[in-house]
Amino acid sequence: MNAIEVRHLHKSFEGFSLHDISFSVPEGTIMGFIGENGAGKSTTIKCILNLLKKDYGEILLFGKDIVEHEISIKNDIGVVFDDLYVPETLNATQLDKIMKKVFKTWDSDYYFERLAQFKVPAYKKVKTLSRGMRMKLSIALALAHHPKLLLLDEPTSGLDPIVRDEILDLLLAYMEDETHSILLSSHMTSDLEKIADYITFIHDGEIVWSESKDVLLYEYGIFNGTQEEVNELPEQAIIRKRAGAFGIDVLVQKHAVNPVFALKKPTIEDIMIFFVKGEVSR
Amino acid sequence: MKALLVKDSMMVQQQLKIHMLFPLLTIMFLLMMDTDHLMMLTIIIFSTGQSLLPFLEEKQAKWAQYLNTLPISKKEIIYSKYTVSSLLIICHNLIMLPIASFMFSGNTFESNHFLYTGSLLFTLACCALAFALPCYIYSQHIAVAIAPLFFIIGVAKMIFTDIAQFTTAILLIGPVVGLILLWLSSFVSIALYTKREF
Repeated sequence: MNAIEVRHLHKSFEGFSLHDISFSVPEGTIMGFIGENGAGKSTTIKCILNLLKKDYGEILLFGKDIVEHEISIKNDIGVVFDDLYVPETLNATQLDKIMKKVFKTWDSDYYFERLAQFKVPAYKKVKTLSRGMRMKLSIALALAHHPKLLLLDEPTSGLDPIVRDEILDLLLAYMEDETHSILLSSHMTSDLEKIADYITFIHDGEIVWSESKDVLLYEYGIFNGTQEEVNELPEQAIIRKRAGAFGIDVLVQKHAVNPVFALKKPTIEDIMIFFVKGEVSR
Repeated sequence: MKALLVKDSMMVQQQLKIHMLFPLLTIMFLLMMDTDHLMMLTIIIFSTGQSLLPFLEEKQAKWAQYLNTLPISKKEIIYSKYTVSSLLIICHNLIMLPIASFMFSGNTFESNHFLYTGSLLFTLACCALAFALPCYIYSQHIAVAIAPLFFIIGVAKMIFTDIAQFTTAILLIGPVVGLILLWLSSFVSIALYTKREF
């Protein structure tokens, strides 16, 4: 079963729109959601959460329509935005008291264990916490009712590598239960390389690809050479090319290229940049 | 809804000093007033402003965006807003009641003036909230929510030029009409909130 299934989602604003967004997050997997600023990542996540009303299309969570089954679905999901959006005069202990009344499955012990693990002070007002602490608190809040699905919108942006690593470890621990799933939007493609099973790339409000991370990293290669060398590559192998500092960089399909061509292993970031800035033609 | 009421009570406790300031400010303004009309207006404007105060911090914190990811229906969200605003406006007006009653009755304490003023304050408070809350939910600006009140109270004053003639009617019907208006406005607020995007 898919934890999230988005089919032909359209949403228009003045000056921006999501076109025919379709992708799915299989249960028990982590989907990385990447794209440049303004590509439509947050808009898509907000549509999935029914915070924004879709123009048309279908959004299913656990096989159920989010608009029709909003409350029951929201019992099973945890959400983390790019900041902690709670009244800033409250503290973590007060938030526990509130959440106890929201979720029947709220686990205060687990919540305070996470706070202790992250060294988040339980009695300090949210407004006095650092950004890293706020994000850790946000993640503890999202996890403490044991949701089946986590939706995270840029949770690690602006955080130092140590905090990011702690958060990624916690997400991996959460994924030990095979029924859990994560949709993680991030600019930090290196984070996604560490933990994601699938990557969906959105550009200008359209899905460019949605693929298994292994397929992306092992089936693509980067060739660097002169124009003459590039001309030797089989045309069907070339996906994108762009001028680099030392000749021309070409993103190719590994299996379609003769092994005599030395190919570099791409990163998710490389692939993303090729698709945004590269050219299709030879 | 319980969760939201718990949260609102915590926020009111945090903002207690500011909430205490409102009745004091109202009294200061009342002392400068010389007509009944402006006295009532002052009390209602200040009490309505105070009743919307918890929403200011929510707006700054983008709480609505987070709140709408939780399994709480929009109806419950609106009802909790109405509950907390009503409680705050009632508290404010209970504090103001003896002072307003004293000033209305020509600086003497009379039980019928006390009842009359209380009933009038309750009616006006319900009517003010009935207009202010949907306006706030639509616009997210306190100024936009409060501005129509000047107009409404002005029109009411023009219609009921001699309030003294309507004493019995106001005592009996006013609060009921106010409550009905407030109840009806909750439906408008739910409809507006359901249409909102976060």
